Amino acid sequence: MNDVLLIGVGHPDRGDDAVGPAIVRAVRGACPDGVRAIEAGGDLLALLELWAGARGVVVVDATRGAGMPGRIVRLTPLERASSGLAMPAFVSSHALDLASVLDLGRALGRVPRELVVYGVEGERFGGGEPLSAEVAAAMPRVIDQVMTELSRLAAGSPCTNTR
Amino acid sequence: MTSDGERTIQVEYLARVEGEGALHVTIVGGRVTDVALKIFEPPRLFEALLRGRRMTEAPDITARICGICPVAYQMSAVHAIEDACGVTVGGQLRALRRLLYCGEWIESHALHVYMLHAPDFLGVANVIEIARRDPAMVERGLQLKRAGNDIITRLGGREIHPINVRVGGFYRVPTRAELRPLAERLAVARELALDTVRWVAGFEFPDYTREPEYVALRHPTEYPMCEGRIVSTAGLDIAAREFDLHFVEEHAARSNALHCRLRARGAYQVGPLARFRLNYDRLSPLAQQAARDAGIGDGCSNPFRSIVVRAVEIVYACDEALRVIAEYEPPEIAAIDVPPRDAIGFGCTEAPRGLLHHAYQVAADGTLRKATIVPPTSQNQLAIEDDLRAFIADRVELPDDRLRWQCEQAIRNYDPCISCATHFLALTVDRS
Repeated sequence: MNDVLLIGVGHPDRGDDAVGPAIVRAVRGACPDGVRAIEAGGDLLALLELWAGARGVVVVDATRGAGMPGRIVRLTPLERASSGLAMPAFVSSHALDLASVLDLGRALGRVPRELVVYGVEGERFGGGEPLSAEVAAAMPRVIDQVMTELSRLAAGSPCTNTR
Repeated sequence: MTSDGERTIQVEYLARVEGEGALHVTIVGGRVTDVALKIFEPPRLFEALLRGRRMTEAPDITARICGICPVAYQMSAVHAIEDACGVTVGGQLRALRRLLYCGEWIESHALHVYMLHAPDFLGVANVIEIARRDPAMVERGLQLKRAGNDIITRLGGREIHPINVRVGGFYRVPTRAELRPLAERLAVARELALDTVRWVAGFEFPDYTREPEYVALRHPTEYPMCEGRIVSTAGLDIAAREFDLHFVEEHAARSNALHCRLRARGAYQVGPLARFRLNYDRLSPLAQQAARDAGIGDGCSNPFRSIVVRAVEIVYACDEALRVIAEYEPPEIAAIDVPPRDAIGFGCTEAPRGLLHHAYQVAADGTLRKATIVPPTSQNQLAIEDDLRAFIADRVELPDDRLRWQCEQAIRNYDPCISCATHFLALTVDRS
């Protein structure tokens, strides 16, 4: 498997936690050749296998405690991912959250070199709630950045650490 | 410590358990006066949600109660509905259900043993620290978990909330060729499971034993998964349909989960320790040997050693899955017909965390009139509190932070699944 992956992490019916899946659904038809767009939720340990062998990976997830709702954070695995990614309270500890999976993956040497994480700060995470206005308003900017990232990875350009 | 000698130990958020819970312990004058396990995971209302739905929807709706043990919910649901309709699923379809359940036991136990429980015995905060010290160990756990997930993906259609289970059987059954790669991986997994037993048997365990009333299924010939009578170490021996006569669910203000007790005797315990105690003779020879080698062949009364019992159950589940695959002949039909009738049905199966009871009142047109779901963690709540009361009594002199850490470990012995346990509306939530 030598694809580029876009992975949207989150629950589609939990308010702003849906931002990852929402991005995947929004760009799925428009991704560059060689990009697979996948929604992921529940047991994120599966990511360690999902992205094994991938040429490049972009992950989108909701964050908490990283600033104003709608704020976009870009992280690469060279940085400590958990610094900007707080676990929403309802995420169970049985299913490891993204920050823990990244930490575990790093310890096991199972994080792809070309991995970029986009965090979008959420405002609400209640069951059955839609995206907040702030996150909905941030969607076009996230889509722009993610598409640029995917095009770069699909073309085989190295990751640029802008932060 | 306050001036009147009252001491409160509060564990506000329980890490490495499924869902949100807290523990409140009050110690007055060196004596434990109150232990309250609070579950503030929001109520789930699944039983109300099921009313008015088609009986055929129950396995898929109840699977959503838990992302760790969806197969258990599906199995209890299909057995209860088939019981109501007077239908028994046998032969290879029954064997495939057992295979699916083996997958869930393997992945759930591997997750708990390696990711959630082992850190307690290795003196580290979490599995990430184990991975930094000994990555091969964690890789072994992941590989084992993968073997369980593979069974569920192959038979269930996907690894979380499988979609191939239906009342009467499956939507599609695998060919022999489709199961062959699973057998190859399971043969490796069985060796990894034996290594796991040896690994966890070498941990240091607190010197602590308990003798609660253990409750589990018991089948005439098999280690119990989908069928059997409900038996206990105090002599209980009843059919699943007699559950309500002997067990009662009660609301407690401190928790969003109902508390279960035996009407006659109060608290009881379900789960791996109970299964192992009541069914050791039904384990495969290999699993029995692994248990003897690990020093628990004569039984296990130390809740901290439950990690060894889970490891032995992984060996058994790999062994049993391999047996089912070796004997598999694809059935001619993927599901037998289950015509609805006006009746009540009961289904008890052994979820990874213990007995999971479902009861459904089915109408003649196949609509569900009433649903009752009693998950293992609800049943264990009183036992956990009793356990902690006894455990803390000998440790009241410990400083608060040390005592808090040990209490958390004692709770993790039960692998509680708090999301599963909160399924009923609570009017009062005690968050003090």
